[in-house]
Amino acid sequence: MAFEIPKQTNAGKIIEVTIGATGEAGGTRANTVTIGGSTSLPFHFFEGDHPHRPVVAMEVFDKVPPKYPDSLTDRFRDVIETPGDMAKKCVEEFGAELISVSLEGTHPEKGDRTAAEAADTVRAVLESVSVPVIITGHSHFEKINEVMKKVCEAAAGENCLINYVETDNYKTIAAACMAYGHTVVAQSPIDVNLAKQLNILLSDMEFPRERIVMDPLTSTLGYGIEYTYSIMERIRNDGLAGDEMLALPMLVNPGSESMRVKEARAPEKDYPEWGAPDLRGAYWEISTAMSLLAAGADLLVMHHPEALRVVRKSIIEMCESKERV
Amino acid sequence: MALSGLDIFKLLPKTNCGDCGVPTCMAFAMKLAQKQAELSQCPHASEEATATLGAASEPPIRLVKLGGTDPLEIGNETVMFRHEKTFFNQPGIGVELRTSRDADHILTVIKEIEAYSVERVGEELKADFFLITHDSDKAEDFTNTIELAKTNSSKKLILDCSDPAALRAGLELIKDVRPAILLQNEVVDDDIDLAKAFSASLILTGDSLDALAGQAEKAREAGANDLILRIDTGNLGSELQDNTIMRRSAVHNNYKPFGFPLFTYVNAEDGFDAVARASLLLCKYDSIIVLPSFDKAMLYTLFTLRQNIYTDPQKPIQVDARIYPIGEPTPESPVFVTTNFSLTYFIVSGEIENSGISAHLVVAEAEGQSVLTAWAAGKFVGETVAKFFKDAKVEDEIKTRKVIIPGFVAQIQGDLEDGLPGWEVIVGPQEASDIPSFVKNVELT
Amino acid sequence: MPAGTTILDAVRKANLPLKAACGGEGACGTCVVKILEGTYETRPSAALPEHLIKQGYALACVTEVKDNLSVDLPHFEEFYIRTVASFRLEDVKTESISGSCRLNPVVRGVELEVPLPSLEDNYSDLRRVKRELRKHGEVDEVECEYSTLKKLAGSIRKNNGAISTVIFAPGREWTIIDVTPGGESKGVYGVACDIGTTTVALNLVNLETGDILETAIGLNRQIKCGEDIISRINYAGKPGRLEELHDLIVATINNLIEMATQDAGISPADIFYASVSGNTTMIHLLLGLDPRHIREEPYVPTVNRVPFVPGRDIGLKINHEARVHCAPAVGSYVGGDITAGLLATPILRDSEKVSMFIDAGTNGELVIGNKDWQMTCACSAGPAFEGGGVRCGMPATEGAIETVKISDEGKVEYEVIDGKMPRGICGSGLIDLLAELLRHGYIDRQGKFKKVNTPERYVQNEHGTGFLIEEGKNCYWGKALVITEKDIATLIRTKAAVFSACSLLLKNVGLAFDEIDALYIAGGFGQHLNIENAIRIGLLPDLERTRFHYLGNSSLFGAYLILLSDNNRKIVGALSEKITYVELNTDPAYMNEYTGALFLPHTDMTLFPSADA
Repeated sequence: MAFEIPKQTNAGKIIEVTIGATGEAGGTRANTVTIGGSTSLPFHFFEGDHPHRPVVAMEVFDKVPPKYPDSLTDRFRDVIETPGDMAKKCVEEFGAELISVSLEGTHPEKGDRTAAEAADTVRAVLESVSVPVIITGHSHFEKINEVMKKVCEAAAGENCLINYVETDNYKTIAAACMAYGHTVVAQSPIDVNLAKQLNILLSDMEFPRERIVMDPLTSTLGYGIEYTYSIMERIRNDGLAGDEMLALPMLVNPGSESMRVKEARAPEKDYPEWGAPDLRGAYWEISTAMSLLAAGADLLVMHHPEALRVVRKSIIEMCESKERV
Repeated sequence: MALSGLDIFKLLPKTNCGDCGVPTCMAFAMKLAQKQAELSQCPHASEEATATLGAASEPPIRLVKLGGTDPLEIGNETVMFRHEKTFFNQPGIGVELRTSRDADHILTVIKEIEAYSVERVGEELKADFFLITHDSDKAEDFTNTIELAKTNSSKKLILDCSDPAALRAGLELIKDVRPAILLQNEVVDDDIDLAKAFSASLILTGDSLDALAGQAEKAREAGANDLILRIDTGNLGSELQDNTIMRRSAVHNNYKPFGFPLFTYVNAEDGFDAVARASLLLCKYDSIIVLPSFDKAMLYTLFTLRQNIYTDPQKPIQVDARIYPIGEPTPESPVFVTTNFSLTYFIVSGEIENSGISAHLVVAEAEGQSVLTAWAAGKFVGETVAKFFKDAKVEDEIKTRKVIIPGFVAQIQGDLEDGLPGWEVIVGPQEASDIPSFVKNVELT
Repeated sequence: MPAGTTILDAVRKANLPLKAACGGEGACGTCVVKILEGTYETRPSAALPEHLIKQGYALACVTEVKDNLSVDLPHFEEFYIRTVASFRLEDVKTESISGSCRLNPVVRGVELEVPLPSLEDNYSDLRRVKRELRKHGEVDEVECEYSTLKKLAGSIRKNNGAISTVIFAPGREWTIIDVTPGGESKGVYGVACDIGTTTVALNLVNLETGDILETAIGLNRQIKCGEDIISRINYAGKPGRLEELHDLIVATINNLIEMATQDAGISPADIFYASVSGNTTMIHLLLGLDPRHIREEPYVPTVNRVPFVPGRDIGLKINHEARVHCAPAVGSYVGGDITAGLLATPILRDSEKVSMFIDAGTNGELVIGNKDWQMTCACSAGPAFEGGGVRCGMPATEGAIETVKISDEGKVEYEVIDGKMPRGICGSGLIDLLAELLRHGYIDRQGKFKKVNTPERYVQNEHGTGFLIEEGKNCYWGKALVITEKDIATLIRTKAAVFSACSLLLKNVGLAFDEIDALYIAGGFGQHLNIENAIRIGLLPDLERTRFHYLGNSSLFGAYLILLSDNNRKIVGALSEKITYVELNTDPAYMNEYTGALFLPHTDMTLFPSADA
């Protein structure tokens, strides 16, 4: 019998979400980034459309994380303390398509920087690069609410991706996003239902769906990646099957999550069988990123320049296969 | 197609005779539906039942074995997504040996790979096979390499050799070890005869799905059933899509020509690229992954991913029951206790870390169950936790004499204090997310 | 009780339940009581304001008894309900049950005319009685209890050979368990008793007519040893505590029997048969069997089918020779309350239709199936729908708010069971309340307050923000009735446990909700259950309303049916061995179903098409 390709047609389509605003739209970005729009599983060009390819971002810091690996510190030595300069390097040298500004340093236990200082950091990054910007917070509700209100105001009109709100703390930040024209990341702890519930709660407060990116919470390789992987596959399957509250693009953090783990940092003398630490750190991040890409990631926040490079190259290569089918 | 418990029940005698070892026909039907039992256990099953259930139970992807003793088993998969059930047989990961390299080099590589082993979560991880690619123009280089691999390693062997005489000579050297033969060209009758003669699997290569389906059909008709399929287009996206189409055809449509495990040779420009390609294809259905060179960090990364993706999602994953340091605790730091269900551990440790304090997290043995489930089953109660504290010698390592228990098991407070003389037991919050505010408001040590 | 004892100690010594969350420190205010009469000495504390003390309220833990004090205990007082109209056998409809409604009890009275002995008929008294008995049914052997034997000669001779016997006839072997001279019998009575983890309910039944004379409902006095089964099992693990739990349940039942018999004007000694149903743990505790193996893998109880036990051996204050039957269990987590409950539904009459039976008690149980097959599972729902675990909750008894409506203007309208001042809210009222809070947007779909339209309805107390149901001055206990986010979370967890178990059990069999032809709902919600509201909050599936049937206490009704007819006892016996039990706790899909149900009405809105309307 002749072979016939079994195609699966889906009722649903992933919502298109645009990050960044150009001059015409009231911002100062040179370009915007749009993700989503898929009508089939990741890279399944043979049975659906993928108008926007997944994109890669790199992260800069208001305060250098204590666990930042030496191999990365070496690469960024001259700019690491200056988020604006580091952002420039990420975009111009390494090809980052967006910049994430981590405001971890505003956490009361991790630097306790003020909201005003955070706003300055964000402004500096917005001035030094022209790509869209992600603003990444932390889980100290009281402080991050205060910080994000201020930062949203400072970046008004730029349509930044405000990262993140969660079920127990969404109202203040979501309201600030609406007021100042930003997009939001809805983060939930590796659970399809909780992810969906948060999207429903946001919708119930009339937050537009085309301004929400989901973060299913990244577990890295060796530390529960299979949970994230399967939850993402389920979210994407349900979204494509027509569940509007799950038909949203997804953000993942292979960079920050891989950087933390022992495998990316431990010296070779402690674990000779693990191989060279610099390679290992990048491999760990690449492997995490590529698996999650297969599971449906649309926006990947990376740390290692080599990882960003090869993941971006792979995405572009995979999108070329569109021509073949 | 999978049958539901009720569908199967309707085919059974409904006598609740218990001859199958299960008390009721319905319970037996449920076990059959979950593939935890076989119809042959029912002595009264009708022919109709046998026919219907037999067709439903055959795995859509054939199990293929490589190697003689302790073979590498691949295939036998039944789902597209691991969350639907599980992925059963971990892909083999191996390294290519090229016969054009000098023998000393080859021997060094073989020995290095043979010696390489790394432990992760109690599992000993090693490379599974060598792909021996004959790219020298001397036939004896091929047989010599096989000889080296055979003598110096226990790895399975895949042979890629376009010289039929050399291939046969090579196979003669490894008669009883079920190797695989990688065909670069369209399969011909001689290949099939050779595979049969040496109980070898055949890896068929095609540049299109149609071509590959045709080859597989031809081989099957000729009675070669130990097949592995390789689509070679050079583009990662095409490979992902072709793999998906083949897997779906087999699993959903029971399309026999594609009911075999898949093969990939990772053709990469550098190590980063190789990890990227191998990682994606490991997730998306390849069962044999060949790496062009030996790189410890790469193997360790891919072994870890393989272990993760092929974990049974239906089984709770446990972490080792022991004392985990969070941050940089001193003997005077606070002590938390929870169960060894991995998700519980990840969430609790994350929230303690998030609170900014350093602490000891005692992860007690509870058979990988969550706090409430373990409590209900008597596995996380005062007595068992106290015993664990003694077995793990908590008092030797830690000077603190206060322990924080999860709020949902406030009831074990009294028993735990009885079991741990000198300790004060503090009831913590019910939800881990409340830990950061809890540690601020309570005297923890 | 010596003067100077605190009320709390006095209450505890009397084995009555009274909660004191702070352990008697005068700090928490959970042990508030209302003084009815007598003298006492109390002191004000932070937990009870001065003005309430003036109105006659006191904290039991800091109040000393001076003289003959009579107090009303809150919440978990010993309560007692009498049926308004007694229930007659003819009210049982064959088509609505799965058993028989022909009166044929295993213990019954038989009137005999025993010929007085003569030189010709010189068989012994017992032999002549046996001879007469054989005319009353198919019987192989007749035995006689020793205590009866002692009364036999006198009884026969008193009224010329006319005697009333009571026989225990579980098959073809009969036992005479009582005898009285003809015309002097005060009747043969039985009790049907449902032992719930939270409440115990009892019917006093005339075994000669099958009619229910009285119904008494009381709180299971074991409640102070833990609210759920696992806590009780845990409690029983310490030396002496198993006996304590046994004594508490026996005292609960004896007390109910005493009240019911007093009201009916009969003697407990005329009760010859008790038909008990309850979950496996409760039955173990009633029998004084160690329940620990119920909890531990592989979850095996000592017994599923309990043999007849003499009531005296358990400690029941009924006739010395009375027999006790316990409805058979399926396993550790599906007990005789479920087999009895199924008997009280028509589920087993039909082999075509598929029905579902939901018993939303403290531990919820479900059955789906029909005549040919039955699948069952248990879920740990918690006592919220029976009034436990929610601060303003109470069982469906006097003073309980049983229905709630919130008007568009934000006015809370409610009905109280006896029409007087409210003391708390029972399950049906809590379901209404939750549905109304959601409908009017007071809470969002995860059950958190939105505090938008009427901020005046929200109050702050030591338990956080709450929604004010009724002000203290209008409430029996003088304290405002308030529902907090924590209470709402408890209710949502409870409904989620029930719904997710339903959904998972169906998935296990391979059925969808709309393939269920009828749903029978049992539980201690109250007299009525607003199905619409139960669907609105996602406790019950969104199906045509005509498919729902609310049964109330089906376990009690099932125990009554077993009491009525020995055929029913045989039906449940066979049933208990045929039901297939599914363990949900170990099902990896359970957590997913559960978190999906932790939303109002559910995360998957396609399951609740009518909820958006």
